[in-house]
Amino acid sequence: MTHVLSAFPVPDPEPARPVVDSTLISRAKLGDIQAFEAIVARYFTRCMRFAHGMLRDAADADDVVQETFVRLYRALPRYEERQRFDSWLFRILGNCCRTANLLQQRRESLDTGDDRALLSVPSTDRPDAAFDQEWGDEVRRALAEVPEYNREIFLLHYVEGFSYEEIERITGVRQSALKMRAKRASDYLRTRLAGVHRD
Amino acid sequence: MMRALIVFAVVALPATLVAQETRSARLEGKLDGETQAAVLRTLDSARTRGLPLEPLVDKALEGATKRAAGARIEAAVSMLMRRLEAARDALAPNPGPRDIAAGADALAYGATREALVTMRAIRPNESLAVPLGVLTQLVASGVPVARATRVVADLLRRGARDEQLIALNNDVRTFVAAGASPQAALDVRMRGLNAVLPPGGAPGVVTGANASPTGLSGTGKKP
Amino acid sequence: MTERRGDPGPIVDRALETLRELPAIDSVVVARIVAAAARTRALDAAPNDDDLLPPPAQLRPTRWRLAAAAAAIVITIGGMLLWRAQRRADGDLASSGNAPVSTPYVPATQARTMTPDALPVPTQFVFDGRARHVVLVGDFNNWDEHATPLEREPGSSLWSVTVPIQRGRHIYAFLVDSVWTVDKRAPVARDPDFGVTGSVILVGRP
Repeated sequence: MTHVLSAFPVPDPEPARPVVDSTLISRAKLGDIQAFEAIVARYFTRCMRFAHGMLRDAADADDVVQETFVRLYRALPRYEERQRFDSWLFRILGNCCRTANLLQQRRESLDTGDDRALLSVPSTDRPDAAFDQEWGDEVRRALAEVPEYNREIFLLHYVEGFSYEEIERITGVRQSALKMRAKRASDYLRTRLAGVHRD
Repeated sequence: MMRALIVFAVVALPATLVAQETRSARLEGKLDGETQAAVLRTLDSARTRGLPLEPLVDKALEGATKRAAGARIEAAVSMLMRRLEAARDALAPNPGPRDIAAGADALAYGATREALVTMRAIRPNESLAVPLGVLTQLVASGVPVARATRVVADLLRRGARDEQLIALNNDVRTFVAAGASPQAALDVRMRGLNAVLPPGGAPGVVTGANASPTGLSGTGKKP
Repeated sequence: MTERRGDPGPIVDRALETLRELPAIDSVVVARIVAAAARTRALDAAPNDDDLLPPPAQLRPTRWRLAAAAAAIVITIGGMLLWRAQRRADGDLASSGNAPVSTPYVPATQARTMTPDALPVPTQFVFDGRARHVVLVGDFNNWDEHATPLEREPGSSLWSVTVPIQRGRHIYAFLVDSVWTVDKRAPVARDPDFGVTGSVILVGRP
């Protein structure tokens, strides 16, 4: 399903976190499956992007994103619009990713915590990406080496565009700690990729 | 205030674009390319005229589900757009999308523009979706348009609730199914309602009609 | 574009270009997600986890937030008073043509934020007949042949489903083993556009 047609203006492929239509949410809250489908279509790629960055095994991304939206759908009747919808969505998604990582870790029977690199690197299933594949693989491997608690904040802030104030609401972690975590992730990537990056 | 308007516009514009993408996505795979392109052009035209788009998408999807030919779907969507515009103008000012769609429906079955104007005048601040639906259904059942319009308008002026209007329609249908003429069925049911509703112009009318105290055939003044 | 936050440096900036790329939308996965969600009962009690509520806000409210909160309170109270007044004035439930509506469901949060006119009405559709698969299509579910399957009462030929529908006149039909079938208990809807007769339901306030 593509969602861009020439009859309508093409939105920026990286929109700055537009707010989902509140009418859609209202209808979805009442069980309108079409409205829910529109919400899923709207946020699917962002959720997959975040899940790919967060998960120990990126092959779990489909299942994790599905679980997220199912949980969101079930919780919708109690959603109150005092919080941003995408903040709430990413809160659920973050929970699901952490749970999936925990299960994966147990499956792998590792005791080295989150420092282990991801085994799979999703670098080939993006036909519309225009990047240097080797560089892309390295970036993802490096990101996978960042501890989960730092990686999550880095992704939420630098990739998904949430402010620290919003991330504080999403995660419950104080802003000062969030900034430190994002910085640590950023510092690690800078050091790790310095040998790979060629200007 | 200006800042709030700007914020609203910034928030609303992406939401509008999302809605456009969603409508396009819903038509994908349901219509052939040429029909889809034609429908999207109609949607574009409707959007610039400030008309509700959901009924148009719905009409296209209805045609697809009913396996109608592309040209027929295209024509149906185009005609609906014209009816939506006529309904919107008749139900002015600022009718909601559901009222516009109900008005377009009524026009499709033979209700007149004047009927819509009359209903809006009687009930300026509440939804007309149910009264218009009842009007449509009475006409579809065989009650002459003028008679159906007079009856529904009169009942609105006298404070009939939506549920009473629906019950009226149900009963007319039952009597017609039993062999009565639509006119006779309506007449007999109105006799029953006359015993329940206040005469035209009674104070405390729920719908806020500006009715004149002239009984059943009273003509309400426009507010 | 995502707002630049601080300055992570050129190497990380280039890494972010890669990380920010969105994957292609996979319609098969989206459809699977929607189907999975539809199977869950959205009206059930919410999951017993902390997905629903954010952690307590730790910020001092700004003046704007206070104003917005005050406005929301006024609107909510006004809406509730209006809704309750209208409920007191209401008579019996009336939705025409079909079996009685099952226990009306209106989420409490929805009732607080929507005017009574805008509240959809849970409306039951019933089909009586032998079939393998019965689906409801209408102008309230985009005529989608997959959206609203009916469920059969065990041991009977009665199939039913309850869906929230806006007040007013609606056209629908059943697809009985993929065959277009009108509701014998409902008024017939002539179809001036496509010539395929449907059924009519008039939905009022519960």
